[in-house]
Amino acid sequence: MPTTLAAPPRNRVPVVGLAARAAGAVGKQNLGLLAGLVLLLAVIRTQTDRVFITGNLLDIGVAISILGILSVAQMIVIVSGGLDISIGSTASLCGVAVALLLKHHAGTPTAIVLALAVGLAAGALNGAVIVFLRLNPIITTLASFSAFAGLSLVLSHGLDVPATSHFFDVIATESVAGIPYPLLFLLLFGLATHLMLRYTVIGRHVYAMGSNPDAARNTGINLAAYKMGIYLFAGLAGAIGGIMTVARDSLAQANTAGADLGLTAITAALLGGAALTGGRGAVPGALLGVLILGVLDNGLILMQIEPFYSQIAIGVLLVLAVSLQQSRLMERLGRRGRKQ
Amino acid sequence: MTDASLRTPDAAADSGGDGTPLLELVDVGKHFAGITAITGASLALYPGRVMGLVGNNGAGKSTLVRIVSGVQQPDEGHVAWQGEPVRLRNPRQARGLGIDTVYQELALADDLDATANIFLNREISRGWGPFRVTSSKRMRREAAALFEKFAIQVPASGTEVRQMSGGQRQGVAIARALLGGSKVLLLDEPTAALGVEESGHVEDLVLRLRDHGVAILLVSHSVDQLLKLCDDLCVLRRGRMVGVYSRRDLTGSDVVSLIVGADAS
Repeated sequence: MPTTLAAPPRNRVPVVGLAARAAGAVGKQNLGLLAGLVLLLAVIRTQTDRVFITGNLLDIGVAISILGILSVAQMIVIVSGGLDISIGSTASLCGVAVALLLKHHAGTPTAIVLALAVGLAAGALNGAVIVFLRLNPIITTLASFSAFAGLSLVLSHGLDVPATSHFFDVIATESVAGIPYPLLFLLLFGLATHLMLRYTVIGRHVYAMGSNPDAARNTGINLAAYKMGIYLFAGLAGAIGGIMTVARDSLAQANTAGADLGLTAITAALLGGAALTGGRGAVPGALLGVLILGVLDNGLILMQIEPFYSQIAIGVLLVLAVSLQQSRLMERLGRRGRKQ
Repeated sequence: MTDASLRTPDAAADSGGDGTPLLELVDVGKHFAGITAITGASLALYPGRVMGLVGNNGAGKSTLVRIVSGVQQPDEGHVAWQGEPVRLRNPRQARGLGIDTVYQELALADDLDATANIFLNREISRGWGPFRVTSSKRMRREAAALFEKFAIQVPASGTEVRQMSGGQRQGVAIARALLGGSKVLLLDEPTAALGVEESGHVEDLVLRLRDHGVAILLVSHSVDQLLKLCDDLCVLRRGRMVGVYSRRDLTGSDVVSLIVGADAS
């Protein structure tokens, strides 16, 4: 590995082995997650023989679809150097909005469009406070987390809002080519976000602003516009999640479920390799993080262990995963120090 | 007038150029609330020549650097770009002309590779608006070509800048400025954070830049380095310019004497 600036005339591209190539496709940082997932499945397999039935895998897929969409959006926010704690409350708020609209005889398309607009407005509010008042994103979204949850309680008077719609019944119960709608939404949303982060100029700039905001600004990147766009995107994802929740449950609940969901989405993104310092993380990681949480939940049920234990397990898992990532980071920094 | 104004035409003659400097500071001064940060500073930067800028802390180096990079505007004298008077209102405008300041820490996004860094916000892409897709292969190729031209030994892709040595990072930061078509590079203590070997590599790079016709203003505390790299040396002391001297006329002890103000032999 050449480490010098001295004069060898060519930049050699190292010959990449097949294994390394495969690892590159998955993403080196995801190998640990994959190993964890396999280990988890193996442990569950020793306790029960039902885990590899495809029906069950699809159940897991559906169960994680809403969380997945929120995590993928959270991943972008974290990569940009921010954090959106309010995304779960945004989902609650948009769920209540769509249910109330349906209750008051709005058509399904109108209700959905307006609920998406509520999500965008919530994101715009977050973005505006962060950009124009220059508040820290954690403080901003902690505040809006509380405010949006409160607003959804106010609007629903703290009661469940039943919502029925033929369209919701369809997406809650039917499939396309064997893939249930919620899972299909997650896959499409994840794919679109992944392509954007990885292959577009926008994605490049999001990584740069999270990695070194001063450098990004120095090159003329409009950080304010990007921040605005990122929180709008998170708001939109929150709205999609909220609407999907109402479709699944046929009612909107303005309770703490939304808040829990939002925090779990952050957990999944961090499990998936996002670094709160920004500049690091990718959609496949977030999806793997969500999948691990889903398998864990499902496995505990299959093993007939009380589901409350899964929350403990998630806590342990998060500490393990992040300390692993950090030790790798420390190793890299150490290497850099030695070279100087 | 100091002997600086006498010195610069000679420098032009030495360079074999047409005598018009790329960037010229004429009698430039800057005051803050009655305190003189710098006054009477005149120097000229020519293609393919390295001008050293030296002086103790508080001599006015930083102010002069900020004037050249467009961060601050002088309130005395004037600045000329290719013979035409010009006001450098901000760093972006200075960069637009071709004057770039290499700040190692400001310039690089650690989580991106070298190619992504040097093309940051000027990515080669196809498509429209938010859907502009980066042309990674082309950028990699151009980055590799640029690194090869200046013998900057860094992997163009696949390695985060975070994992690179200080010298490599400096190379990437300089390459970024070169890709922008900079004709004048301002290097502010480029080897301050580097070990001996890495410093040597960056010094070699400075000489290659000079050979490729880049005009360089080099701020350094190291007298040895200045004597090794510079064609001319601009000495500041307590907010005043002592003078611009040809490297050939100076020894190390001369430079030290000029900096501290002892009687130069």
